[in-house]
Amino acid sequence: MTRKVFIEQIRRLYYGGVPNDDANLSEKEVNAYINEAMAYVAKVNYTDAIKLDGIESVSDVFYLTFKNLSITRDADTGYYSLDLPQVPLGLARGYGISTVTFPTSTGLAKSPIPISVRELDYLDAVKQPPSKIFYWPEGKKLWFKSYVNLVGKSAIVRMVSTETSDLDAELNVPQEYIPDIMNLVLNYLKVRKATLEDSVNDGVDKA
Amino acid sequence: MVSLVMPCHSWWGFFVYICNMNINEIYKLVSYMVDKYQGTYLAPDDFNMAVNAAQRQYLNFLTGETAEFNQGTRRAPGGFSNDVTTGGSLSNFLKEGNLTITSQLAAQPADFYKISAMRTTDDDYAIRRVGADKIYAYVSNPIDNPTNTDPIYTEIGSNFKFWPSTLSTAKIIYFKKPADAKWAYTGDLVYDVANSVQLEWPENDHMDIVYRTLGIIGINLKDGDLIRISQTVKNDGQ
Repeated sequence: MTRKVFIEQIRRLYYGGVPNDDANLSEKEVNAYINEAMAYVAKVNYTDAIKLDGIESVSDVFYLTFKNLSITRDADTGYYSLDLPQVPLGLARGYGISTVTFPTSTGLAKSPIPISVRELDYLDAVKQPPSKIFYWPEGKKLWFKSYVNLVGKSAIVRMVSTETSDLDAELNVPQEYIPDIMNLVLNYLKVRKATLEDSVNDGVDKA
Repeated sequence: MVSLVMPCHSWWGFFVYICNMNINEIYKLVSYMVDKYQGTYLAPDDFNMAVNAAQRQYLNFLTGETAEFNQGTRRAPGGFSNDVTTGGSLSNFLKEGNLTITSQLAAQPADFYKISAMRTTDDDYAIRRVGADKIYAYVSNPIDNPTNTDPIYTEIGSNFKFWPSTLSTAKIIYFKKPADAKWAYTGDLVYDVANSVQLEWPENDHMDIVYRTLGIIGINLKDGDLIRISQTVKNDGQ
């Protein structure tokens, strides 16, 4: 199911039928709620796996691969970085971002090693093989510690993806979680519907 | 053998009479009642003025008040109900046209009365109406700022103003103003069918316009009164 179809289902529930042209709940607004709800169900999926099976796991369906992520060098720190498509989820290391690799054409075929930002000072102090590359996420950036120049290279990142503005994209969620996402979004929208809109422009904030 | 054809009872004839009236019959009916209830003569110009005011008032009612409702704590005080009855009455006035947008502005059509919808010319995307006091919030909105696939407009004077600024055309679906009806005559108040202008409304709306015409003139009737009088007019051939 594409996001557009899912959004249409939500809008029909919200409006009690096919929305009119003057409907002001836009597809993009619903999509913003879906992004947040998807992140929540990914976390539920992760914790469910621990509760039920006793092992950490996130369904493979949540993962997407992003290519051609260009790398730049930070002049102050000497580290390299790229911009991720979204802030990674707060899952255990190796689950939010599962894999970082480089295209074989770059000659950097070996997978970088994930570390925590708290381990960086330690790693800065130890000897390391020149070919090893370490990475860690900070917000929406993925940083690299590398003795090999990465400028001009691009990376391939496989990560749990819950955000996109492409409404024609397929929902990368296991089908059984769709009703949960629907309920979460409709709960947001219940508040929206129940809150009186200040439609009078009289200079008084009536929130 | 049982006939399935409905017999022409007097009430049926009356029904046809009151539902299927031309401007001459409406004028005769209204004149009769003015004479009966006010004892005065209704000049054609006065009738034309009253019937046109009545049809504009009726159009305003259908497009402005038929959708009033309360849902929870929200209230929608305007707009029209697009049900079969209202939609059928208004269908004669619903028009579609293309707007050319220059510097974000497009003029309203000459016969524009009230807007129903605005879309991109390919009908792929709705163009949302936004109040002038919310334009800033939309234009700089981080979630759904206007784009060519999610445009917005507002009404400024006799123009529509569109966002984003790259939008060059739009399709408008609107209600046109009803043409002014006219009871024309020659000589000694002889009905001039050639120069008269009929109401554009569907036949089932004629009685509503008659009621409103009488109200404007100052006669307020109940349904039964109007039915009896209409029957009298019919029987007497006036």
